[in-house]
Amino acid sequence: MDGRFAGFCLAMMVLPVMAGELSVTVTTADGKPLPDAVVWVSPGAAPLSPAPSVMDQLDKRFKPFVLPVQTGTQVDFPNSDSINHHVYSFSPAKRFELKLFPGSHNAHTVTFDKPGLVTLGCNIHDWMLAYILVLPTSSFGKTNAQGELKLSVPDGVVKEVSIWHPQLASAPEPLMQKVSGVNMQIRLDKPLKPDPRRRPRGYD
Amino acid sequence: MYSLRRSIFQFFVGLLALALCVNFVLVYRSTWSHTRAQVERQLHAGWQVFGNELDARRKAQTAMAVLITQDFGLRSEIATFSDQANVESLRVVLDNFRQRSSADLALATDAGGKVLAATDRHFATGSLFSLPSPARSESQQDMLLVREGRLYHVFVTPIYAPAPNLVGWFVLGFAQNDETTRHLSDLTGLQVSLVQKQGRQLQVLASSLGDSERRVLQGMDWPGRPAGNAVLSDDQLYYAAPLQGQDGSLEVVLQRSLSEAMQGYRPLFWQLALMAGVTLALTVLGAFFIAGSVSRPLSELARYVRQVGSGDYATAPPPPARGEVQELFAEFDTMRQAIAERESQIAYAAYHDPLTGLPNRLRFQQLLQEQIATSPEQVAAVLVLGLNHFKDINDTLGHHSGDMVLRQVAARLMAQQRPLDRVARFSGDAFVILLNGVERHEVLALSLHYKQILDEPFLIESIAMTVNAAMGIGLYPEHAESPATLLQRAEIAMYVAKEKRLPCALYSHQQNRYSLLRLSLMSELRGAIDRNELVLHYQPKLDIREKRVSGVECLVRWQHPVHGLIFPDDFIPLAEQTGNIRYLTAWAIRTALTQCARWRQQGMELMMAVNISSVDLQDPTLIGNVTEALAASGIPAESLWLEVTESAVMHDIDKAVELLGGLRKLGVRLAIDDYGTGYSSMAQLKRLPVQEMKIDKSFVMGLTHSEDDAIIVRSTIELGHNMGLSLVAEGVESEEIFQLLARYGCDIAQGYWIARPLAVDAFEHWWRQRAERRIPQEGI
Repeated sequence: MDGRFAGFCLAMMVLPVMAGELSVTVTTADGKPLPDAVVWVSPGAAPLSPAPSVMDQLDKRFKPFVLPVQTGTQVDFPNSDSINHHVYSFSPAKRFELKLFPGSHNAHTVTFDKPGLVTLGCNIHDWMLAYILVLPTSSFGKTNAQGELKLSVPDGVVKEVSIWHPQLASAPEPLMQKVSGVNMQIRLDKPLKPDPRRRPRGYD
Repeated sequence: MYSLRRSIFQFFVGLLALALCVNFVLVYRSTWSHTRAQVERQLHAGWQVFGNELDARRKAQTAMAVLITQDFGLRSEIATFSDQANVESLRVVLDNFRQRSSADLALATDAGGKVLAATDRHFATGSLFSLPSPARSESQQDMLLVREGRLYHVFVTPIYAPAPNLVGWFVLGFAQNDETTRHLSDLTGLQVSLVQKQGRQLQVLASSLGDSERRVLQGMDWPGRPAGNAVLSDDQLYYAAPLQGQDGSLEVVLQRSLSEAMQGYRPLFWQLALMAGVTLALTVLGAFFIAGSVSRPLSELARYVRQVGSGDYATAPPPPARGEVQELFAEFDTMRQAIAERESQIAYAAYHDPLTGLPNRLRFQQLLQEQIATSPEQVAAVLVLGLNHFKDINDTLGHHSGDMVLRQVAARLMAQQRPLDRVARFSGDAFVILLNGVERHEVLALSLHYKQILDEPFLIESIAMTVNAAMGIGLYPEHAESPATLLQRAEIAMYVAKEKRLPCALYSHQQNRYSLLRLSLMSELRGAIDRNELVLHYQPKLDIREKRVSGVECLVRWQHPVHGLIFPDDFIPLAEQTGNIRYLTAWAIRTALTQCARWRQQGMELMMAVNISSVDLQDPTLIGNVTEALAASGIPAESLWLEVTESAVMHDIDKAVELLGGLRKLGVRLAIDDYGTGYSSMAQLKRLPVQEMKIDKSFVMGLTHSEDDAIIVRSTIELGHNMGLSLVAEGVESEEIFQLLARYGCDIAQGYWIARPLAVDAFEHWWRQRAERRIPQEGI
């Protein structure tokens, strides 16, 4: 966890966790389920040889919006649109730029070898925004539309649970949590920032 | 008259000038306030134009700045900015954008506001801006900024990579310099200044003003922010409005010179001035003519009236004027004629004697003057013809008869005058004749010609009357060259003739010696009696046989306040001529008898002798006067002697006999005075009822050395004694004479050897001394 990463608001706690699979539900301060939230524990399970991930360009958007990966993961940047894209990142965790032409599948990959948050943009389409969260562990998960995720926790270790979401306030905040066996409830007690995603402009 | 014209003139012209001035002031004031309001509106409009300019720039530059911040290269430079090595690279990029957007400044900061690079080294370091808060980070801002005395309009735009990932700020700056303000000035027609307030002073950052005006603005004591109102100071109308940025100390000041704004009205003012000038000129001409048409006839009239006033009545009136003035003219002319007529009457009255119709003395003097002036070389003679005893005619026959005599004399003189001569009435009983063009030797003959005119008796109310006259002659240029003097001298000659009982006398300068004194004395004598200026002196008469003072003769003296003591010889003849002698005689008798009575009370038994004149012998009132005086004093008539001169008696012996007879009847004693000088005959003397004869002193004084005189005196004494008269010798000046007279048998002696005439006190003193001695011979 470096400074930049911390800037994106991680809520941390220490708690004894049984080895096995942990179910986490994340809700906003007003109790709604929060999708696209990333939760991980540390120390987590040792990194595995990571499987490649994909950050697609589709309909002038990045897909997915939030992509958590394990350090060293190679992410493929296909272009599913029929137009050009110019993907870039000036984030310290990974700086790169890719000029993606239509139908260039598997042609461009980037390996994210440092943990941290990488903000993606398109030089041609200013509204396009995506985050790749590079984590030093394999024990992480991303909430689905119901705010639920499952993650595997190594055995018998005191764990630190972290959460990240683009709309979280930057200051650390105590989380309301409820642990019941292998289930964990995280409820944010501050309202979320506005959704940074903007609607595409121009041709749809 | 000028004042009327001036008044009319001044009124019209002054009124118009005032109206024009007021008009001009009103026009100017309304123009001025209109201009001021207009300029004020212009200033407001200018402020809006200024705001619009800012807005337009804001819009254009905002779009530009946003575009620039989305530039990948810029984002890349900033995002990857790590060390000093990149500064130059970033600066070049920034400068490129600065040039593209025609800006004066471009700089970039990191997300925290720290300057990474700038195209201007003044901005190269530090954190310059209070950045927009993160919550508003999407909005881009513009502000005004002062740096090193220079003003910039800066646009601060966030740089995202991508939004909301803020990587830094991009700043584009536009210098607001004199050129900018001049552009605004051209656009608005106003002077535009961008200022920073420092206390009450202003720091001018940029201005369209020239240096001097800029200093004025800078030096102004800037009041608090005028809330949307314009402020007037020294012809400049100011409007200040705050600008955002720099804690509100920045303001834009718009101003305009009112006089410059008034320039547009200058033609109007010229037209007004021209109109005023033309109107004024026309009015001046009009007023001049109107005033002239009113005042010209009046001044003509005034000139005419002045002429009349100065005595020129003959002048015809000036050409008739119009209207009311014409009537006035007519009235004045009537008046002029009336005055002329009256003046000729007055002049006639002034120059003519109303009784006789002859020119008067004044007119005569003028005629004489004219004569002398026209022919100064020619001899002229002035004859003054004085009627003798005219007063008696008036007194006895009445003034009416006197006037008739005068008229007849005048008629005769006029009828018989020579053609060139001039006759005038000189005074009450005197006429004057001017003989023109005569030779000296003809004068006497001509004088006699005029005198003869009176020889024929005058018939006055059936009474034939002979009027006697004395004539005095004065010659020009021999006796005098001035008419007044010549007349005076002819008059003196006339008096001399009267005095000497001559038909006529030619003036000589000897006559003039006392003439002026005499003339004045003549008029003063009556008054002198009233003022007690006359006194009597008394000379004793000595009875030669008894050596006793038997009486005194009183002699009058005039103690004149100016001329001193005057002896009788100097004024008695005058008094006789003027008739005043009657009053004098009456007074002398009264006074002498009163004194006599006083002495008798003191035991001084004296006879009193009083002289009477020939004129008194004609005076019918004399007897009454004497009777009254005797009665008043209580003196018996026998003690009063009245002495009358031989010549006076001989003048009119019949009348003298008659009057003296009347006096004698009263008991008064009578004496013939100055015997021996009157050439009287014994026959005549015999008729007179006198008791005493006084031998003239000229014989007595010559007694001792002239045999003739001795014979005359001795024979006179004998003759007198034979006629039963008492003899008195006057002029006894020595003992020798006294002894002779005593031997001749003279009765009474009188003279200086005995005593000179003495005043009352002196006489009484002399009397007492003499009474002590009792020796007459030693009287001296």
